[in-house]
Amino acid sequence: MKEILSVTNLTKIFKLSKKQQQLRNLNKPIITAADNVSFTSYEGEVFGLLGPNGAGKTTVMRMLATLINPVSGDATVGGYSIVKEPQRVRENIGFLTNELKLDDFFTPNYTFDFFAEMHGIPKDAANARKKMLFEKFGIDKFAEVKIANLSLGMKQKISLVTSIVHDPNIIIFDEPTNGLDVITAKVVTNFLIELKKQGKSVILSTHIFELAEKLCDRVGIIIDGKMTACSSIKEMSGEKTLEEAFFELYYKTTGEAI
Amino acid sequence: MKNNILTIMKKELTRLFGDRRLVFSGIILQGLLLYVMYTLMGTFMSGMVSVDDDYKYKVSVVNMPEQISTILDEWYTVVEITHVQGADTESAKQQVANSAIDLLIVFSEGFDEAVTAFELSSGETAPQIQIWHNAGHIESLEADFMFKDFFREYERSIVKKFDVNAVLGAYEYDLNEGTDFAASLLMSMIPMMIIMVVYQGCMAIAPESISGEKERGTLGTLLATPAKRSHMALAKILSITVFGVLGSIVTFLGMMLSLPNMMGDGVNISFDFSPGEYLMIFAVTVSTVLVFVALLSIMSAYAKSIKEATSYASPFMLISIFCGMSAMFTGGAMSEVYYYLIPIFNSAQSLTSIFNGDISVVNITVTALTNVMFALIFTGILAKMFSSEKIVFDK
Ligand SMILES: Nc1ncnc2c1ncn2[C@@H]1O[C@H](COP(=O)(O)OP(=O)(O)OP(=O)(O)O)[C@@H](O)[C@H]1O
Ligand SMILES: [Mg+2]
Repeated sequence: MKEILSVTNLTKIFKLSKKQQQLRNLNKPIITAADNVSFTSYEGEVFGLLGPNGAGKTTVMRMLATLINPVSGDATVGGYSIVKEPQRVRENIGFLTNELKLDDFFTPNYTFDFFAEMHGIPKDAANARKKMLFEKFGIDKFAEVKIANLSLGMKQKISLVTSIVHDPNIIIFDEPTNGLDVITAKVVTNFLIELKKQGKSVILSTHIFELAEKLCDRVGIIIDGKMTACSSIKEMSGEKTLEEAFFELYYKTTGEAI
Repeated sequence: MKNNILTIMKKELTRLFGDRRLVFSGIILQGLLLYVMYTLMGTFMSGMVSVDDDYKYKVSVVNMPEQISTILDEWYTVVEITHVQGADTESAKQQVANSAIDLLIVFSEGFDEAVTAFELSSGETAPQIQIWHNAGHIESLEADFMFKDFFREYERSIVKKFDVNAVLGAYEYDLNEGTDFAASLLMSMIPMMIIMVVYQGCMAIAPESISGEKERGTLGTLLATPAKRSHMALAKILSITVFGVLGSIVTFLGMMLSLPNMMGDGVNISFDFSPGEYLMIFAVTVSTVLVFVALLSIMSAYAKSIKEATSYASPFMLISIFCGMSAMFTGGAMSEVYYYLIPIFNSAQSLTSIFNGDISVVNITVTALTNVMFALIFTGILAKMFSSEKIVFDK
C-alpha cells in the first residue's frame, strides 16, 4: 500500500492570553493542542481522526492543510512537505472545516467559478464538474441565490462542493456532517463512500463513532493532543463497539471514568 | 494559477462595486462632500464679504456743507442721505449701532468756510469730519471705506499738489493677470484637500476589504487555495487602489466643479492645465492612493475587526492632513529633490508645485517612484502578514 499521508511528531502550541487562561481555568500561558502526533494513511483509504471536544483534531487538520504551521514535526501530503512546500500541498488537497466561510455576497454559481479559476481549472471542465456536483447536492436550484439567503445546511454543502472544485486526490474533511440534518448528512456520507470508490484518500475527523465505523478503514484516537491509538477499526474495537473501546481508552489515558 | 492576481481582483472588484454602500462611501461621497463643502464655503464667504450690487447705503449727515452736498447729489442711486439736526446726533449713533442706518457723518459747523480759511501753518485745529460706522455690519463697513476714500479725494482736490493714479482708471493699475490673492490662498489648500479626501476614500474601503474578510472568516478560505500570498496581497491592494483612484477622480471633478462656486464671480482663477500637467496630477494621485491603500491594508490586516481597523486608521488621517498642509507652511513647493523621497509629504509638495505652475519633472517622477516603492514594500509586508496564522486566524 502506498503512503499518501505521513505525519511525524507534529506539534502545535498555542499561546494563551491572560483572559484565555482564566476562561480555561489554566495557569500556564500555553496549550499544547497537538503533542507529537504521528500517523500514516494510505492511498485509497478513509482515515478517521476521533477524539473528544478540544482534543486537537481540527488543529492537526489545519496543519495538514497548511493554514497554520507546526512548531515542530512535519507531514508529507501526497509527497509534499507541509513545511517546505505548502503551496504544492494546497494544490493537491480539498480541505473543509467550518471556520472557513464563503462570502455571503456571492451566489453559489459565482463562488464555484471563482474557486475553479483559482485552481486553474479550464472553463469547460469546471462547468461540467459544477453541473455534476450541484445536481448531486441539490444546489442547482439555488445556484443564483446569494449565499447570505441560504440555509445553514445549504451553505455547508456549498462549502463542501467548492472545497473539491479541483477534484483533489486527497480530501481532508473536518466534521463534514456537523450541523446537518439526517437527510443532508446522509447525502454527504454517501458522497464520501463514492469518493472512496473512486480511489480518493480521505482524512475525516468526527466524534460520531457510528459514522467512523461506517466509513473509516482505520482510525486514530486523539486525546489531549496526543495520538493515543491508531489502527484499523477491527483491531481497535475487537468484540466491542468502537464507542466502548474509546471509553476504555479514555479511562486508561486520563484516569477519568465516564 | 499564474493569473490568480487577475482572478482575485475580478472577484474583489465585483464584491466592492456590488456593494452600493461602499460605492457611495468610497467613491461618490468624497467628491460630493468636497463639492458641497467648497460651494457652501463660497456662498458663505461671498455672503459675508460683499454687499448687493443694487444696495443703497443709508447715511445720516449732521451739518452737511454746501459744496459736498452738491457732489453727493450725484450719488443718489447709491446713497440715501438723511439730514439730521446736531441735537439728534446721539440717537443717530444709536441707529448706526443697531444697523437701522449704515453711517453717520458729522461735519464741524461752518465746514466750507472753515476749510477755506484754514492754514496748516497756523497751528489751529483743522475742521473736523467724524464718521461713525458699525464694523459688525458689512454695509456699514463698505460705506465707511467709501466715504473715507471720498473725503481723502476731496481734500486732495482742494489742496492739489500732486495726483496719484489719475492717468488711467483706478482698476487698470492692477497688473495681476492670473489668480487673485484670495484665490491663490484657497488654491494652496487644494493639495491638502485632495490628500485628505483621498485618504478618507481609501479608509472607507481597505478595512472593509481586509478586516471585513478576516471578521467574516472568508480570508482563510482564500488562503486555503494554492494562491501565493504575495499574489493575494497584490491583488487586494490593486483592487482597492482601482476603487481609490476612481474616488480620487470623482473628488478632483467635484473640486474643479465647485471651485468657481467657491471663489464667486469677482475672483479670478486660472485653471488651464495642459494634458501633461493633468497626467502629472494623475500620476501623483495614483501613487498616493497606492501608498495609502497599502498602508491601510496593513493596518486592516493587523486589526481584528473593521471597527478596530478604522480606529487604527484615524490617527494617520491627521498625519495625512499635516503632510497636505506642509506646502502651505513651506511657502510653495520645496525644490530640493530629497524632500520628495518622503511619501505623502512628497505628494502634497508635488501637487502644490503643479498648481503653482513651478513644476519640476524630476521631483514629480521621484514622488511617483518613491510612492510606488513604498507601496511595494508594504505589499511585501502584507504578504508576510497573510502567511502569519496569528494575523489571519486570531480573533
Ligand atoms: N488559535 C488558538 N489559540 C488558542 N488555543 C487554541 C487555538 N486553536 C485551538 N486552540 C485550543 O487547542 C485545543 C485543540 O483544539 P481543536 O479545535 O483542535 O480541537 P478539536 O479536537 O477540533 O475539538 P472539537 O471536537 O471541539 O472541534 C483546544 O483546547 C482549543 O481551545
Ligand atoms: Mg474541531
